[in-house]
Amino acid sequence: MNLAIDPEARRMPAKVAACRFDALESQAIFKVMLDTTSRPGLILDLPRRIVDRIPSALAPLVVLADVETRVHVIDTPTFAWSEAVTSATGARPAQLNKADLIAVPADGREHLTSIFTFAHPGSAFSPESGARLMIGVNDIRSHGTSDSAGVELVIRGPGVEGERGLCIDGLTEADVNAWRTTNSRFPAGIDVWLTTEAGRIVAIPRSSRLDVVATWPTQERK
Amino acid sequence: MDRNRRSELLARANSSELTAMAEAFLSRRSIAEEIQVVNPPEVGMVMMQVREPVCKERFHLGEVVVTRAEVAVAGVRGWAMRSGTDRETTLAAALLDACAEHDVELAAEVQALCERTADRIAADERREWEELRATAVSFEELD
Repeated sequence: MNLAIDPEARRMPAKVAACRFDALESQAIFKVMLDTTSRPGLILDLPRRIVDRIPSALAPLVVLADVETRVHVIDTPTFAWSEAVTSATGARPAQLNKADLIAVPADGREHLTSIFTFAHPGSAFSPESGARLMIGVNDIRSHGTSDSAGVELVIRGPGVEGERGLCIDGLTEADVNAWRTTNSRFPAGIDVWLTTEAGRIVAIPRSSRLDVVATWPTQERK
Repeated sequence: MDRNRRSELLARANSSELTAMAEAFLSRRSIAEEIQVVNPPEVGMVMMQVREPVCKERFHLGEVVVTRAEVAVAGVRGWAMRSGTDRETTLAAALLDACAEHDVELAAEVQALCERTADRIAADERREWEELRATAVSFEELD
C-alpha cells in the first residue's frame, strides 16, 4: 500500500538532492581526496559539476559521511547546509569536539582558531577517530606573490619530496599555531582539506609538518 | 519516552499498525499540507554492531539490509530506519516520528503505539525464554 502523500510533497528538497552524489561522482571526489592526501600541499581541482552544485568545502565531507559518522557543519547566514548534509548522508549531527567530520565554509572561519583547538584529535590507541576538517578559504596558491594575503607555509613530511610551499589566503598564523598544537601528538591529530569556491583543493594530513614562513595582512574574512 | 527509545520501537512496530496510524494522521489537513518527504525510503546495508558480554566491547557482526526514510512536518524532521525492504512502512514510521515531535496530541498516540510494541516485544521474549529455559545450563564462575 502507498501512503496518501501528495507527489509534490514527495519531491526531495533541492539542497538535499544536491548533496546526494551518484557512484561516479563519489569516486571522482574520493580520487581527488586520495591524490591530495598522498601528496600534501599539491593543489588539485574538484570535479566542475560538483562545485557548481554545492559549496566546495562540503564535497569531501559528504563523500565520507554515512550513518556511522558524526558531522558538524558550521552554518552561517549565507551558508545553511547542515540539515541538508545530515539528511542526505544519514550522518548524525554532533558537537564540534565530538564530530568525525567538520565543514567550515569560507564565511564561517571567524572561530577557526578555536575549531582547530577543539576538533577531536583521537588518541595514540585510536588515531582513526581523529577529526577530518574541510575548510573553505579565499585562495590557495603554491607560492606567495606581491598581492598575497594570509599565510605562506612550508610543508614537509611523508608524500613531500623535500619541501613544498603553499600560500593560503584565509588562514592566520594563530590558526596554524592552533592546528600544529592539535597535531603535536602524532599519530593522534586532525586531517585537513582546504578548498576554494572555485573548487581548488589541497590536503594537509596530520603527518605533515607545517612552518609559517611569511604572513600578510589577512583579507577581510568573507 | 526519549527519541532514541521511540525510534527503536518504531523500527520494530507492527507494519499494519504503523501504516494505519500514518494514514489517520495524513487525513488531517494540518499534517497533509505540511508534510515534506526529505528523503524517500531507500534500501541499503548498514554494519551491525554487537557488544560481546565478557569484556563488553563492540564488534562488527555483519551487514544487514535496512530501509531508511526522512520526512518533515512543518519543518520538524522525523527519521526512521527499519530492517528489511518495506519502504512504505518505513516512510510511515518516519512520519510518526515527525508528528510526535511536531504535535503533543499526536505524540501521545505515537507513544501509546510504542508502548504496545514494547509490551509485545517483552511478551515475545518471555515466551522465547520459557521455551529455552529447559535447556539452559548454569556455570559457576571462579574468580
